[in-house]
Amino acid sequence: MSLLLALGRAAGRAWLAIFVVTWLSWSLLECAPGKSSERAAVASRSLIPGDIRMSAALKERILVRTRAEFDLPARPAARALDAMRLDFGLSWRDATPVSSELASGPGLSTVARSLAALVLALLGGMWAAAYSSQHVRGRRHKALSLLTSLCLSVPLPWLAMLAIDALVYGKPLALMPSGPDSGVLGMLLPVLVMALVPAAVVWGHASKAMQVIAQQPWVVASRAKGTSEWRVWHILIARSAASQVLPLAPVLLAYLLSASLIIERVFALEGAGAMLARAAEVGDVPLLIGFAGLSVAGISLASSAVELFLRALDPRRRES
Amino acid sequence: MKGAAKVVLIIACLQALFADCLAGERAIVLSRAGEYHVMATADGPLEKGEWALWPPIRHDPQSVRTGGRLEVLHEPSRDHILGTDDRGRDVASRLLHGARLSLMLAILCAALASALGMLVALLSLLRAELDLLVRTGCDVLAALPVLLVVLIVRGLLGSESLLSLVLLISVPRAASSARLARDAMQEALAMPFCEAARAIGCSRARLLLQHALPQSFSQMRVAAALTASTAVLSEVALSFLGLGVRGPSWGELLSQAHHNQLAYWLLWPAGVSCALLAWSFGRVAE
Repeated sequence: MSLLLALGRAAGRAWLAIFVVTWLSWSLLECAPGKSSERAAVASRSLIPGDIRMSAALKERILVRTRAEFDLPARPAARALDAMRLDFGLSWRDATPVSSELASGPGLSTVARSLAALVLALLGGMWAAAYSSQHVRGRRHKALSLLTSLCLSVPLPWLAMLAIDALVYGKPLALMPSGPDSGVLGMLLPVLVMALVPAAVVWGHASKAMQVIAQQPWVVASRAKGTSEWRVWHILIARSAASQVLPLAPVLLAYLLSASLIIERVFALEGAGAMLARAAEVGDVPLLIGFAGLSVAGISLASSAVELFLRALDPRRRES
Repeated sequence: MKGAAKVVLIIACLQALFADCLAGERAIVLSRAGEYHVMATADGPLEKGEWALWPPIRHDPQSVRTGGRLEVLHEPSRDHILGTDDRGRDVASRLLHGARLSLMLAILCAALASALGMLVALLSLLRAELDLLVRTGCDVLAALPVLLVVLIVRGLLGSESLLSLVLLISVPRAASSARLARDAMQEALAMPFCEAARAIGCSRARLLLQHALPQSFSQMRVAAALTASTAVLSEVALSFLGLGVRGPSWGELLSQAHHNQLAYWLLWPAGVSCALLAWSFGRVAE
């Protein structure tokens, strides 16, 4: 029963997030300089901005047709209610429904890539933290610390291009195929590059948590009972540290969605990120709003899922 | 390491301030007809008795021709120490002038985010009824990735100005700074010196402004450095996507490297400069 309630609450939060984001975005658009119908006509390439050869009558006819086609000027509340039924209207660029465009193959592949990178970052970061926390004053810990601070400072486009240069085209290291025609193996490098920065963040949080947990009396007691070092670090301490690291997952997922913009450009992949970059270039507002609404709802759902998972993992949370 | 980070920051500041003196087609000082001109264009060759002090890199970041020739995608040579880009412009000159944009954005964003953050934290502690609202708002805003926010809001507003970029990078970071400042101020309010000030009749506003606010400055310095680092990386990412501010920028050089078979003279200098600047801000924050 409590699980059903929690699921209902999570769905309600996600719907509310979609409503708020869509309402705010359409209101912002109506406040922006320039008429929305003119911007829609420019985005659909019916109108060229500053075209002096076009007569006023023809321009007006185009604007009337655009208003009718895209239901403009928009009423933000009505649009937000439609969005709650996952109807974000028609794309201004090619008049296809935004929901079907975002839920198509490329959109789903972005979600799959982001989730794969998230899992990789969480597992890799936790493993590295468990490994380096055993030698806090050693060289390995210092090396990992330096590596993570570098990962957090390197611009993602550069990192992705260096990875391609070294691992795809580099003569001694041409290890991995990459690109849209390389199948599952081709997805490996983009996911690895995307996961590097989140893994560094997870490592930072997890290693701090693990160093504190390692001093706890119950850890000392389990060592005294003869539990192996591997089990102490990788099972007992890691599980306890997970409760402090997992709440980062929704924030990391948000980061990964934004990183997909760059990764898809660098690796020439089709996906929601590439769609969003194109939409921003031409000013396809419904697609931008649809992406914003769905990603905020997705992040809200991820945060609820983490909450439920932590309750299952940690009895103290369940009891409280 | 921290010393090295400070040196990098000082060099970047000097580079941004004196970019025109380091790379450009105008003479830093020109002596002609017995008069001295500063940052002047020398029309025609210099005659006897005239002299000029030139920048070390004698190429303008926008100039596409070298001595009347169009040199596109040239590898580093004596004429162009870091080569040319796909329009024939000097990479070294664009790199030096690109530092100006990155650094200006970093400083503006850090200042605005810190000021907004402190203001929001003060408001939240001044009015108890606002506290929950401010905290929830800050939590939501701080979780939003900067790149996504900038891209979506700029797409909605259709604005490409530097000011809008500064605002859009600063607002999510201000939320994060506000949380830090609020925690630091609340901690200070529980300290004996604040208790004493309250006991002698100090008003809530004065208590916050005069006693609690200065206690949050060390936290705000850290937040400002992190904001600066985020701003540098966001600007590079946006320029790489072709959605940044017009003018020479490091992201644009990376984008050109991407379009031109990862040409090393375009890929490495911009990437290393950006990483060094972001790393220095990060180290200073640590």
